[in-house]
Amino acid sequence: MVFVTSFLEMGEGITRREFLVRFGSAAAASALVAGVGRTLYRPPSTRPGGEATSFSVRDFSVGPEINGISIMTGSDRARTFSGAVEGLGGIGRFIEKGDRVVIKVNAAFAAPPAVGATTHPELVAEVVRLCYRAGAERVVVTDNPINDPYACFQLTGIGRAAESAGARVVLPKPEFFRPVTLAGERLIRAWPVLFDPLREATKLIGVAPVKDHHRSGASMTMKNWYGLLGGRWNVFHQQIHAIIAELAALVRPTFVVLDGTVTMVSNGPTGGSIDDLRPTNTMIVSTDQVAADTAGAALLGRPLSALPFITQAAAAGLGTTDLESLKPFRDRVL
Amino acid sequence: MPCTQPKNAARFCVGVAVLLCLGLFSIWVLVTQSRLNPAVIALLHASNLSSSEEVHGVVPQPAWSVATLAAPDLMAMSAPEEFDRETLADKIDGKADLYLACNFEKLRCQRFSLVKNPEEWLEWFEYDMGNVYNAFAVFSLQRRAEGQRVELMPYAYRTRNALFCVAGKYYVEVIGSSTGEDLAVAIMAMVSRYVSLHPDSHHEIPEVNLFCEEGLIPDSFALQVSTAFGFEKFRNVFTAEYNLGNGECLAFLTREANPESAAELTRSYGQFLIANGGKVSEISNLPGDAVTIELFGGTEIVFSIGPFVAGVHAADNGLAAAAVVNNLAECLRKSL
Repeated sequence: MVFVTSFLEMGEGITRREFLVRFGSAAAASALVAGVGRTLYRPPSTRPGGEATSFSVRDFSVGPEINGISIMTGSDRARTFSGAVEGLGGIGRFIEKGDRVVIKVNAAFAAPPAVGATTHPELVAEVVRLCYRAGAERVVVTDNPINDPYACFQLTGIGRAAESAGARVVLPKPEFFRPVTLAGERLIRAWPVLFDPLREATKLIGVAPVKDHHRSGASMTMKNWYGLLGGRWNVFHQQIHAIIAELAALVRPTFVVLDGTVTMVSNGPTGGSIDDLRPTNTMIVSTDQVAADTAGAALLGRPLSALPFITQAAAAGLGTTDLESLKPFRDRVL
Repeated sequence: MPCTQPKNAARFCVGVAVLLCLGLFSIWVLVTQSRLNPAVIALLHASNLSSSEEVHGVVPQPAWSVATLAAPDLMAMSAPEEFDRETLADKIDGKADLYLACNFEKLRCQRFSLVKNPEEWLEWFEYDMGNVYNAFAVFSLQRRAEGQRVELMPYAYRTRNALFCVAGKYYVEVIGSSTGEDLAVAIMAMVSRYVSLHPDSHHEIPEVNLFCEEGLIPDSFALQVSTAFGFEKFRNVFTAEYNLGNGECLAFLTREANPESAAELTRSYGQFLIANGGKVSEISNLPGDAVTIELFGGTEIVFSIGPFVAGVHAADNGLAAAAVVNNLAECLRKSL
């Protein structure tokens, strides 16, 4: 307090020159501090000088009145998928004329379709075809793969299958990502998400295989949304179940497709040997991704207690693990 | 000198107000900094990595390249890639944990396609695990039961589309895009050439020969380098599966520095099992310090002989497991 008083008393009888010198010094010091602060500041977007506004992913679901699960058995993916969709009332209940559809596949690895580590191209083609048959204006197929995107879409066969069916493949670019915050959650805060393909979409379909996963126990429809994350997503590996549950809260798709025609029962998520796969001949289509993953857990032979992300998502009200409550449609393709 | 004039008091108040604002601002900065956003950490890490892009991606090739392994019927369809401990997950995602836990050092990989049919291709993965034990660990922990042994080296098997092997400190996977015969031939040729360039491909791990042969399921050996059976002190534990006639059981052994530490580890593991709900049981005619514990419906037997700690884990049939234990004890005594 004495120091402050003495300092202020020094202003008595100050000349104009002294005032200008002191003012100039203070202005220079302020400018220096501001400059240092500006240099150290990191905006919440991944782009230099990017927006500070956080984005949100819209709800693509078609409403609670259309809520169900369809489980078809058979080895022909195209037929089991279309049969499963018929069991839910047909594609027209989900896709309308003029819809702009995004199909989020699992193209995580540059692996051949035979090893079952990625969405099967035959299934991708059938999903695209069915969307166009229902009158979709355009269909986009996308993912943010773990390996090189071009190699992933090429070597998995997904790119060729999607384009031959009339879809446009969108590979991720840095400028397609936006910071997204999931309100009330603790992990997805201003995190870069592959947002631009979703910006003008009216419907979103997730298509994923059933796989063992070394860290999370399983990779199915909820984990499929991991492929929308940008940045160094493996920072979330230490909280894998929580992040999967948050992703299920972040993304509300129109419906999900869980391909259990073959199931990778070991050595996931990459697999590598065809002997890691079991022919389980099951196709699951559901508006409830928690229910879909619950059905997928049975194909893996895993109890739900071994897959906490499913029970966490159910506890958060994102879906149900009680399949029978959804009155599942069951049929088989011979 | 005390302030007495009004304008000095005003200046004093302004000064105090400025200092107060600065103090509040500092507190706000400290509070905000304490609430770390994972995005900030990740972006900082990403910006550090981008300044060293040679860590993964196209890299200068070492003295000999993977491409030299490719026979004339194969052509490179990608540049060689290299990944280290920081970037391994960028290639194999969550499976990286398995390799990192086994002291992984570096991965080299590259894709090749058949010249006469470019639709058929393979990817070569060469994991540098630092030593043959680490390489054997990742090999054994991922072994496919349907695999057929490959006689090129001691630890190698093939499946319908792939080949997996240990070559010294390297664990190698060659994954084919299909089960085609031409691709299978190309894979074998690559591995054969690799073996000729790696004399230590034939290095055997002596510990696996300590297990008795009676009832042993062939090629069922595995190595857990850390926290075997959930017990933190169990490091470098070898396991082998035995057919009991009416079931199977898992035998294990590990080597300590001396008999005293082996005995102590035996006691320690027994206490660990009891602390986790195990109940001490009695089976007669077991080796000296053997402890039998019933846990979760299975039988655990652990004992020490010389520097070895050994036993069976989670056996369904306690008496049959005891027979395996006695055989194992005899084999270990002979090895001393």
